[in-house]
Amino acid sequence: MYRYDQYDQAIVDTRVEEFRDQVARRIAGEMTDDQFKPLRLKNGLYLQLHAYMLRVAIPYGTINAKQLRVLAHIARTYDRGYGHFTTRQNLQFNWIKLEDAPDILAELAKVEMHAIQTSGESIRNISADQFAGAAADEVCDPRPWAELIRQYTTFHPEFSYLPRKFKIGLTASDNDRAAIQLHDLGLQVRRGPDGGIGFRVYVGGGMGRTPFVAHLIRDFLPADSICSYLEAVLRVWNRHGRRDNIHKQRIKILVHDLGAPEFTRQVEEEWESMRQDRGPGS
Amino acid sequence: MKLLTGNNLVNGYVIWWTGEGWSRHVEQAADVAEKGEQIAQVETAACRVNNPYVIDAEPGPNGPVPAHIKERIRATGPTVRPDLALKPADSDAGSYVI
Repeated sequence: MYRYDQYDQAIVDTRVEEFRDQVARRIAGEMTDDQFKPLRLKNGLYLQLHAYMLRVAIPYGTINAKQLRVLAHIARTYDRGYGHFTTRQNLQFNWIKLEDAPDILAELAKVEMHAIQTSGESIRNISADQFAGAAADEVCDPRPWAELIRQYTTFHPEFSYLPRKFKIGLTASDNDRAAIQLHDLGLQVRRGPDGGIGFRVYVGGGMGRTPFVAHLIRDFLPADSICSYLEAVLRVWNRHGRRDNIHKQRIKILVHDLGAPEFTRQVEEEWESMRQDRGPGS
Repeated sequence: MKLLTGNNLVNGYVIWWTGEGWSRHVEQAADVAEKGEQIAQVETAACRVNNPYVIDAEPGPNGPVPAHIKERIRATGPTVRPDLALKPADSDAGSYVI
């Protein structure tokens, strides 16, 4: 599984100390709730019905024994002895105290985990086939692609003010165990006509109060274009996504309103423009 | 009657204004009448509560009972894990949640 390099570790450690300072200022009354709320949401901390809730990312569902032990330690030490695994491969602690949150994030950072971009209007943790890397029916292990997308989308400045949250699902199998068509962006790793690796791209799926099955917008995208194509999708949404109504902000609403063919046309146009600017291979 | 409620800033627990301070037990909540917003402003500024707001309630045999089911659930705790719920002074509280 992927291991942090010094840059990953430095980013996570710096974020912990930054949030520690923000929490201290909030508790001391130096920040209002309106000022603090977007900061805590950038660190996965919600205020829910009964208490604070911390959502920890388990990137593409991959976790090792050492990390699992730390999650158990956090549940016993800071929570009520349990956590809640979510369908999108996160773990939620439901009884977290605000004053403990920085220490919890520090414990997570020691085992290469964090809660960054698990809430707020950001690109969330990428969900993958739970059998990724072990499934007999997959084209390849999709998790290196998930890691590439994770790194590309973490702290990406262009994606820091999205209309709403954005969820990506990934599989490398025809048997869609990751439910990619119920994600904002669904990616299926497949082989193209020349045998090369690429993606089938779906956009606009989702659940919640307005459920939609995602539309196929590209049957084959060469693998080395995944970042630029993802960027083109997000640009079209960023440009037209409705920010005036919380119930209309998700990309599924835009795809539905524009229609999948028009949405696809705009994404392809944007992508082509980017490729001309950046040169082939982008 | 009107109650003032919110969450404790530091630990996030649901709390109720008693007239002198905050309690986790809704049975100890005081009727704030028309003074809810004023108290909320003072308590927010003092960092003793997060997101305070006024709700409707009815008097009960053991203290106020929130009018809306959401607030009754907030008062007692998770309905799916009653072992984790707050044990209220009102032994009948569990039956008025739903």
